[in-house]
Amino acid sequence: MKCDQAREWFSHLIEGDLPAAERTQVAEHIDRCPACGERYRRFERGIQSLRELPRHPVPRSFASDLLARPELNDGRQAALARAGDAVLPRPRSWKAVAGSAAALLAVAAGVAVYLEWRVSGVGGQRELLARIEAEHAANVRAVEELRSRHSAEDEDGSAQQERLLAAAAEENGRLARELQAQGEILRNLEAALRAVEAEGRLARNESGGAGGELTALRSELAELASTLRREAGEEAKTQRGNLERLAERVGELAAAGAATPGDARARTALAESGADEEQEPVLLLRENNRPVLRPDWTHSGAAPYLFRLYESRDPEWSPLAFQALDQHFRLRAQGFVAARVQRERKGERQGPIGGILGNRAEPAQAEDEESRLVQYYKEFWVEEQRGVQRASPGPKQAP
Amino acid sequence: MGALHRMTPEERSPVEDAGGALADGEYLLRIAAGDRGAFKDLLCRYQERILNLLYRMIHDWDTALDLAQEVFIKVHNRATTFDPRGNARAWLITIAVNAARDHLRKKPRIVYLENFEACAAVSHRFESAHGPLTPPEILAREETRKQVHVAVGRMQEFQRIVLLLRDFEGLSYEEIAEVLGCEIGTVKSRIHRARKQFEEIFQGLASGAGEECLA
Repeated sequence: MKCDQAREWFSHLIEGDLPAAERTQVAEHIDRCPACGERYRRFERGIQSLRELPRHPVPRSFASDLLARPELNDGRQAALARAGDAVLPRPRSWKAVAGSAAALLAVAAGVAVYLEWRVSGVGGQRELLARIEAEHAANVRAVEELRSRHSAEDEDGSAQQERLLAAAAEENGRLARELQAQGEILRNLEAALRAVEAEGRLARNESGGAGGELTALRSELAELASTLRREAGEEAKTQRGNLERLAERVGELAAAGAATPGDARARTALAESGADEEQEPVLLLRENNRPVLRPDWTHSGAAPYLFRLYESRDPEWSPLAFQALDQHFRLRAQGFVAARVQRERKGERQGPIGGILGNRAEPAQAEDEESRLVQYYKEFWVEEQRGVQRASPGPKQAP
Repeated sequence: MGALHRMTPEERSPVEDAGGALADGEYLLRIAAGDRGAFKDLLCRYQERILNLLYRMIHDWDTALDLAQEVFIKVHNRATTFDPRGNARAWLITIAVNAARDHLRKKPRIVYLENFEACAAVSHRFESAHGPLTPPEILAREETRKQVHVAVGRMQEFQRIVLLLRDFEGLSYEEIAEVLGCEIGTVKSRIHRARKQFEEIFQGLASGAGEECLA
């Protein structure tokens, strides 16, 4: 082995990773060659010295200076904030929270009604079943409406909202399946009852005085039918109460805030028109993204609200308010409106008002007609309210 | 003739225990969770080690002090990025090595002043494994240390870092591979290449070493 070749292996010799044959060759060369031997020993001392180089002590102020540096806190807070953005959900709006809660409560109320119905008798339940199915459909609509609202208002809604909505939808699905099954049971029971009654009639016709057994059967059947009718009547009364309470509860939920089916734009329009929010009835719904009024809007407190909604000139809600007012007052205020129109005709105020009482005016005149008709309805309502205040037995008709 | 005795991390840093790496990882996790006390403990454990490694890499004590501060600020602020499955010691040293390399890349090449004891006083151990050193042995060892210091300072920056990681810091092949971001085979060849360069420079200091060292 030559000197250059042996010196190439010095590092490996120190590292101890040479195969035995090479290690022997290098060792023999170092022993034979004084220059390489001296050179290796010096290199070995150098590496050992490098490994034992002393460590200089750290100045005492090093740690205190470091801990006092502002970057120590600012940088970590920034890093934590970045990490937090990645893993923490965004704060949920109270609207979304209330919406999810309203959906779940509506579903829970539906389930409660259903459970009460389930333990009731057979007779008279068909109507109740229909009402519960309607309530279920309303729940489904509410969930859909909330889902669309959430997707519009908070597109990146948290997983928790999604879970709540999914739970509500799943609960409604389960309710629908249960209702379907119970409907089937109801139909089977009714068929069985009819069959028993037919059997009874047949036996009565064919056997004549066949003895006490048939009489006992007939008596038992009559008693059973009577019991069922009584129980069904009581149960139906109870369920009606439940449904009324449910409707009231949904109304309260709706009034609780923007999580209800109310429309924010219409609310804004009403607020701008000076409507008294405390007296604002809950009338507004969105169904398949179309504005509709709640079916139970026709109470006396709704009229001023509808007048203001109409006067807001909101392109979406104002026509709806007109339809509602027209439906509500057309018959009741017929005499009043006719008298007002006649009075105006006498005053030679011929004009678009002529179309109000049946003959529709030209489209260009329609808006003015509507406006004046609503004005008449308003005056009629004012008169009506005065009559109520005077505790008169009925609404006062205009002369 | 066998391999030289390599000081284990336990020998070089008595504060570390056998499970040092795991304990360091736990410190980093606690720092990431905002535990200031954990940061102080980690600082206490590593400040001397990081500072001296930086000093050996850049050969400027004051700059090493500044860089060490920056390194620990990064450790503190980036603790959230530490993978608990990783080697905490290698992670810390990676930050220090990167800081040194950034500094060496930005700064113009410094003409190294071989003032061996420019830094703070060094605690010398005037004894060996075989007992107290004689005065000639002490002188010879001090002379060798000066020459080693000079030779390391004259090495190419990257070669110097590799040599220091292996023979000054005592890192394993795996840890060096993690710090440098390369394969273990590459690490081995780089270590031998760095030692060869060191050996050539160090041998060149054999004659007239005293004059150079005192320059």
